Amino acid sequence: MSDITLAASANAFEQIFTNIVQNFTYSKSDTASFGPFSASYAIALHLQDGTLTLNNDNTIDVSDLEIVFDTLTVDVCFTLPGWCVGGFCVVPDPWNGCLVPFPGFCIGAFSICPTIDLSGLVSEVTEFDAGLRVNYYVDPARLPGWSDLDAELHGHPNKWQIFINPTLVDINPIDVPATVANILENAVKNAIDSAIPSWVPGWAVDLLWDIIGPILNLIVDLLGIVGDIADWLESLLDDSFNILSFIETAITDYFAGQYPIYEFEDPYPVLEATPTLIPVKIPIRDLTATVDSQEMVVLANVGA
Amino acid sequence: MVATLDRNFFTQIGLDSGALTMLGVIVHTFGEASEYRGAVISGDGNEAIFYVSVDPGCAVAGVNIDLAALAGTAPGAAAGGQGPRYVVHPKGYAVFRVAGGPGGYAVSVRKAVEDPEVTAYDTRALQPGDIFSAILMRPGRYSVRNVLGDAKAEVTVSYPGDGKAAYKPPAPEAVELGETIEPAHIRLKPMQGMNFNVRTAARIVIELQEADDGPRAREAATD
Repeated sequence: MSDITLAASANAFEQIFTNIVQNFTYSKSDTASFGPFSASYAIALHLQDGTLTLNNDNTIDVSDLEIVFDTLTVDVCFTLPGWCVGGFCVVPDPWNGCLVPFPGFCIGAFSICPTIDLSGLVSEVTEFDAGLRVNYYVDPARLPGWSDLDAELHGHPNKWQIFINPTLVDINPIDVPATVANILENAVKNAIDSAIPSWVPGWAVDLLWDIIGPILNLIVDLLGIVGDIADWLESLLDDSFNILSFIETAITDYFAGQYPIYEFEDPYPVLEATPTLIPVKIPIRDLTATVDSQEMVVLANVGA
Repeated sequence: MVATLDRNFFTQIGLDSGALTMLGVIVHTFGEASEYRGAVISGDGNEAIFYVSVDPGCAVAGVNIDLAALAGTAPGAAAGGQGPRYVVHPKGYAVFRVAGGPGGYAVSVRKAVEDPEVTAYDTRALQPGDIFSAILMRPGRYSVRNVLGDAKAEVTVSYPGDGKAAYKPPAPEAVELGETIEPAHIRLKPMQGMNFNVRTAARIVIELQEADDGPRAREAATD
């Protein structure tokens, strides 16, 4: 029989969980080279919704938890190779070659970095299995010679903390919409447009675009894309940049170690200090936290 | 991030075989073995000197002579006999071209040991057997004239397509220039070449008569 028993109903537990979810944010950026192109991304996201279920086997399930990408941009940088057109033969040789060619005209190579902006995309946490984890927190600012009373007076008491401890977090691959092909096409068009000097007359601009041809074909060839552009970008984010893994780790770390659902001081203050008396505090030992389908239960003993 | 586009591609609209630009090439066969001394004549009257050894003992079938590069050499140094020397077989081809810049060059070539006042060859009067090769960039309707004769023709350059397939200009149009120009009506795609096979003394001048600014301009004109 434990000395102390605390309980929080499933509803109260869910409210605490909602507060934790609402406080989660994560951001990251990175860049890497992939042979014919380099890419960089920037993400900033938060969590929303989520339904909590407490189970009799001391586990917690979370469903319908969504990841909202407030920022999700990808810059894809590559070099347009240049185009040489217009060459032809003036004097052929007898062997189907050319003795005198008229040289073609070349448009020089240049680099572009179109931005694909998918901000606002929503993904889903498909699996969120957890238990509870009890942690005894010793404030690193506490000096070795301090008593518990000294630590409290200096605002650095030890604490018991209870965390939701995810055992499995799995999120859906980022669902890049099929319209990303149009987004990329327009981004590349804009990048090329801005690279054409303003003095080039309209007919010459039309001629240049005619020489360049279909932009999507050009992109697919230059970047070595096999298959669908949306699938390619999804693979770039999920597999090459490993974004899903970073997000899963960030969610796990946040719940398991950054935001306790409940914490209290040790020794626990029973009576506040008065002008003539020091506070009365009792040490808490052997703390455990469990859940069943109805509530969270915290048990502890009073130590020596 | 700026595309390396040569402004001269898009601002030089017409052509003149007597004032060569990037859009034209003259091909000439010397025929007679000898040492030749040539001068590149710029629009401002400056000259740059070069030499051509027409040697039956060499196997060079064609030599490119870049007039822009020659015109960039110091005239004084060239006049002192330091101009570059090219070598070509008597049946080979001297190709006068302009690799960059505004152009407007003519070439005068005479035998080095002859009277320097006697012009053996001048691109301002092409000779039978020469080829003048030209590209027209700007869509529209052009007139073609031999200003040393009466021959005339008309060239129409169509407007670029819609980019649904990467455009490549078709093979060049062969044009015979004698007492007349055949064909008299030449239809070209943008950047499609024309090879004028010269059969009489000629200076070929191509001038824009009516610009074609494309479907957008035509729609705007009818609104």
